[in-house]
Amino acid sequence: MKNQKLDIKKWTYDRIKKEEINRYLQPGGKDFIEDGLILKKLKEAKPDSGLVKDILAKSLAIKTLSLEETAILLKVEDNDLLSLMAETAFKIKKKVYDNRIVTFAPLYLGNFCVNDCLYCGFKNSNKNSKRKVLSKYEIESDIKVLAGQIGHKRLIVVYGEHPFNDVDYIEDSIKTIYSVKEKTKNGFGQIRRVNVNAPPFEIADLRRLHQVGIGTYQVFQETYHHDTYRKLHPQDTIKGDYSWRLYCMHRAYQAGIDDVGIGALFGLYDWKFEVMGLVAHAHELENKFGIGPHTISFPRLEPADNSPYAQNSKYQVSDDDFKKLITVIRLAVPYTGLIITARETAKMRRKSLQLGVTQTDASSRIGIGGYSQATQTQSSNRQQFLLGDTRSLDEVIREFSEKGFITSFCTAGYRCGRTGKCIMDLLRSGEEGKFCKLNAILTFREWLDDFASTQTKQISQKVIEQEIEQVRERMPNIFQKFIAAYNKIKAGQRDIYF
Amino acid sequence: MEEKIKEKFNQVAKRVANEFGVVIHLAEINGKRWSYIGGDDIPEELAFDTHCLKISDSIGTIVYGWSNLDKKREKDLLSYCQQELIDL
Repeated sequence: MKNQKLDIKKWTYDRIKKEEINRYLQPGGKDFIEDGLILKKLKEAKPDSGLVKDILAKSLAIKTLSLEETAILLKVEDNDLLSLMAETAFKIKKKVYDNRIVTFAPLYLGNFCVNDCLYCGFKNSNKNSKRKVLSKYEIESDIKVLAGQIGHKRLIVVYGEHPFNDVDYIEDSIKTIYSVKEKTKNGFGQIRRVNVNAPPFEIADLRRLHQVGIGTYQVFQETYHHDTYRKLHPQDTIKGDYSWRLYCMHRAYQAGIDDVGIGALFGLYDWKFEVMGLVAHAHELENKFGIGPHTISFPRLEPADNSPYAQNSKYQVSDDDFKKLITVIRLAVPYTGLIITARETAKMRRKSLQLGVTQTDASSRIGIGGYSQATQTQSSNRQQFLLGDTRSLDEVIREFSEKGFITSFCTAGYRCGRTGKCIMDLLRSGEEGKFCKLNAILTFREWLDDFASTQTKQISQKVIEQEIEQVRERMPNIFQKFIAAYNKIKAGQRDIYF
Repeated sequence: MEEKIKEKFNQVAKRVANEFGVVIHLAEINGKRWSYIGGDDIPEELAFDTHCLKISDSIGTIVYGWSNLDKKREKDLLSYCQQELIDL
């Protein structure tokens, strides 16, 4: 045990490569998050009605807002203006992503962690936590359920920071996930896109993740506020290094990964500051690499085992403020995908769709090995936090269909070169939406025929018919080709995409 | 993309457009992923007529307007791209 501790210490010591931070720092050694400047902009912002409307027009033109403009929106209190902001956010969502919702499942592969974040149930010092890392066989078992029984095509795979979950493990686990093919009614259920939520790595390791064919690489800064970050992440841990985490997306781009997801854990510090931090991060990536974040996540702090900070934080975000922050992020970074997870209640997830959210999970199990185990109850000492919505994918999709949203299982873009700058340009111009519309119908048809309950299939048929009619009206040149592909899917062929 | 590679690819893409009537994008292949490296805007009339043409284990081109090519021209395009792009 002592030897293992020593090894972990050595492993920890070697992780951070200072030269892979310093090369990106601004003159004077500062990073790009200027706390004082953000606070000043928030203090000085005055939400004049005319100005707010001008800013909304800019958002609607799919242009990223400046920090000043974002601060102004964050300070709006007038109910009429707030309603106008929410309406505009939804218009942007419709313009870029139409009525599509992309679904995915989270898959936690291990809960060992060398870090000691005050708010997290997986923290190293939580001796109550039941630790486990999934073996190849156990991963296969979970994927058989996810891809073969539930019908998911897209995962976000979550790894703790620990030698048991090092880059070798991540590489092997992704290969395993992609290799599983599970017989279904028509052909095979298979995970087609593996997004990864993992610790910040050095460039050489990130290159290996790129080479194994990951979808999006996701790392959340947790809090952009330097002092708060220091207080919540002990300085003798890897995560204690703010800059190592902040610049991991720079390293990712340098390693060739061109789809990155950023996020903040709302409830650690003032929510308005965190929104400004996310927007500043998006600016930095756009300016340095010409490619903004593929997705932004905004989880709220949830109760976690043996983590009193998570229960007692004075920065907990109310439901009203949460809706406002989703609205402002949608307006400030209009091209990006917005992710809400099953941490939130069904009611909040419903509302968030009207504010511009584009991706969500369902049938989620966040206990390690949670999909292949018979138990469906949540267990606080095996999970990072407790879920607010445990509905099945079938139930969630049925509700989407009732509300006129189409569920998309599309994973086409990254398999045919629509990534990085290419997809950014297509999203801003609205062109990507055309590909997505066709692929959403094809993949939804697949899922309905392979996995849906009779009730969900019936309710969703109307959505499919409406969508097909829209393709006929809006894309007459491609309609015949599309309908030929659709008919092949109906006849049992799988994985046809544009 | 490095300037040298960009320049070389742009030359090839231009010639492909003239000789084959298709637009190509350059992509790096990693597993299932084809990551965009370079290429011009996609003309709307060709956008939904794509084919992933593997040049080597690590690079490929996305061909927009693929159905404009008959079998022989498909082979010719592959040979030409392999000859010009394989060393990138």
